Amino acid sequence: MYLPPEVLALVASFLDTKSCLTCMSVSRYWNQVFIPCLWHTVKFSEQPWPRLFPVSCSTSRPPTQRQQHIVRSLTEKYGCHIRVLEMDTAWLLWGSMLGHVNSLLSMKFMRILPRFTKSNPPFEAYNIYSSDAIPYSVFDVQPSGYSSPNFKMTLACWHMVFNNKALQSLEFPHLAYNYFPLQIQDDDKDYAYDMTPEGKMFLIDILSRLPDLRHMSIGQHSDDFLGASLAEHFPKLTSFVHMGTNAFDPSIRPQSLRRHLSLQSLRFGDSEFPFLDAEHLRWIVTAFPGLHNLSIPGHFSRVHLGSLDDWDGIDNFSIKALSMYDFSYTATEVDLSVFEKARITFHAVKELQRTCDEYDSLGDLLRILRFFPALERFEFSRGAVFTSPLTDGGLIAGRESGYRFRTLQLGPEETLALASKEHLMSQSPFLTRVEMHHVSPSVLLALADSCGTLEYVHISLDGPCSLELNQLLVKCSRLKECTGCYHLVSAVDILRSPNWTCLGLRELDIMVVNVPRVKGKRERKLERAKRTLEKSGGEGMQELNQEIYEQQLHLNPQPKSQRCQGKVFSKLARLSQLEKIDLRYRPSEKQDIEEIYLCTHSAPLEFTLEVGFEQLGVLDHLRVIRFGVGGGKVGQKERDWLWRRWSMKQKPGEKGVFCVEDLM
Amino acid sequence: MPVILVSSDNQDFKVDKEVAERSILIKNMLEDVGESDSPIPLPNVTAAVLTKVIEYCEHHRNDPVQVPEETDDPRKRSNDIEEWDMKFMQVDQEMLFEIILAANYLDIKPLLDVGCKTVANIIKGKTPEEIRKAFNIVNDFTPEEEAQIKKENEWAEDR
Repeated sequence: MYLPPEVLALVASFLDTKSCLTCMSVSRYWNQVFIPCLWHTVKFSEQPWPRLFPVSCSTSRPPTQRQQHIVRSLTEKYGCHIRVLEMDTAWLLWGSMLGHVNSLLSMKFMRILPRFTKSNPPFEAYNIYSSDAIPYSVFDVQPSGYSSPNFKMTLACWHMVFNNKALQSLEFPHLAYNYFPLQIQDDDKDYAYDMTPEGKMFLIDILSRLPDLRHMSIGQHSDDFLGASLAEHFPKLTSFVHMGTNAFDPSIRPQSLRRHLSLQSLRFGDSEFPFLDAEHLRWIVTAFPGLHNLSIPGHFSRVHLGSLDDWDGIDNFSIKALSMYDFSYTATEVDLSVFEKARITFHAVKELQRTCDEYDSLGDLLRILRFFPALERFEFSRGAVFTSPLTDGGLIAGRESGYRFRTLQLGPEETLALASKEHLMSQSPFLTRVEMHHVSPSVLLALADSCGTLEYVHISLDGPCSLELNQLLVKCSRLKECTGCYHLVSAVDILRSPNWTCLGLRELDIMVVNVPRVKGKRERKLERAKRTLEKSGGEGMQELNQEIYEQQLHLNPQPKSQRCQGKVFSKLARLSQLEKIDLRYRPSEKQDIEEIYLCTHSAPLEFTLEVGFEQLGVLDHLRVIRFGVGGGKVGQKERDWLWRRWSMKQKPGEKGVFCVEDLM
Repeated sequence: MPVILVSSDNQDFKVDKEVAERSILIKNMLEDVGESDSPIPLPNVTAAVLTKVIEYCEHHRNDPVQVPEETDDPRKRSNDIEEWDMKFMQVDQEMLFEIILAANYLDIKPLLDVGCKTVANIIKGKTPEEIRKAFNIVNDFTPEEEAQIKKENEWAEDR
């Protein structure tokens, strides 16, 4: 069978490295096609490449002779196929990368730690010397230092840049104490070297001669870049990562600054830049008018934003995504009023993320949102404590339509008021992904009623929301996952409801309770006693519950209960895409002991797997069933059946959790 | 307005323009020619294969135009085939390859992708000998070459 090379290469793009290796030994033709596919991307972060380029070589232990030999012969033979290279720079000393790797599109230097010292120099055979392209004179270093491995490594890096004219993306290492690529400081004083201003210009010139360079990531203290160099020498760059921030020189008026039109993405990657003040923001948006994506490790500073008073033009810039390491201090009353006063609105910001661990009061969420009207994604990874929640009870002033959220994710410690949550849900028709804790029935109902496009729901409920959760499954036809704690649904509600429309559902956490059944005489008597006790508020409730539970334990499955369960399972069996189902009782954190006791003890008895096996058997994709068999209701008959249908393993340590492997 | 496609064995297929335009080749042809009733000859595609391809295009007639994903990773997933496509691709191997070749010729990227994913899934987990057997490929390496490749690939093996 013959496939043309371009089609076979497309097949290769869907294969992992290991399969590509296998394919190389199929035939000559396949060998020729698969070699470039295999060597296209060499990343030391991806298997199996660390086997070829062990990371250890930059620390104390140099690679063995054998390793050096393999690397050399392979890179000599296949180096010309490498397009994406990401590896320990120290390997430049041993592999014959120079001269053989000349067609890179993307290069990422890693770990250029000056770890080589005189005490452990047992390497040999590297032939990296100055050339016309990169002469020694560029570096301010004594001839005695030419043989320093650190210096040789720097030299090798620059030769690699020089040799690879097609580079589109270039990343230098990000180390706070390293001034690469324009400067390297060495711990070992013998080898210390620096760069002359002319030398620096020489190297910037080499970089600027790469015609296709679009993305560049630069180490710290290469400050010349952000200022004049970027606009002057790199007009085509669209993405730039800078590790330091000393480059901002507020004394340069933005008006006199040369503008860089094509830059779309700017990221600052180090905490040395703790906050964004008005001058920074002004500087950035003036210098880079085409910016879509701005990422800053700091946060808006309350103090510094104050100086925005006199600046009206700031809301006209084009930033679409703004991410900040810490958004915390911005949204206090003072800051919000500064936003208001300065009339800052982030019209194009679609994402707001906060990944910082520590948190502070965030102010009124809904008021924050006023400044980000186009927000689609809102993530607060941990606690987000919002103070003074919605007070006026209506839509935010000036907002005619609802929110444009697609993702809404609130940490477990948020304290947003019920009314605010309800409001958020009912006004966000585009939501596809929700992650929330402490969800109450009204919020859930708002979700079900207004968010028809929901796909991923991860919510933990605080109290019984049987009707509402069922409603979600009925109304949200695009649901793919519905997981979380305390997803309690009454069997009666399921049976009485219209059909579930979420037929694409893949993961479901649902605990079915209150299966109707005929109670025994003794049990009815006990329940009467319980009700009396509840009215009078006397003691002994726990003993009573225990006794009721024991009564239920001895009850055999009844036809009525079985019929009901069968119907519930037939509903579940319609979810043909289901992969995982969790029928266990999983309480949320807030529930009190009494409630937990009741549910853990009575629920497994009411709802058992045995009735549903045959029905669940039609689900082709089902892989995992989690089920609490407190009462030991999975008998031998069911086990045998399961074994025939699936290869089933009880998960060690977790009673009643079965992971099934489909045999069909 | 329907378009008439003619297979290599001279069979006519009448399909909706919208369906035919799933093929970029045909789409460009139609744009070049303008309004015309003349049938489009497809000399590289037999009637049997064309029937399958049209079936695919009919089913996917309303799909949005694929936007190439912007990822740094050249390795793509092969296990995300839709259920309908999976069933559609359950054909004998000759037909599978014919479909892929037709998709390549007609420039129907999603179909080409699905076909290649299917082939990739067949390859996965097999030894070279098993792959040769599966695709009826002759091992044309000399024993020396085979040994050489084996030696070269040693570094990647699990230790």
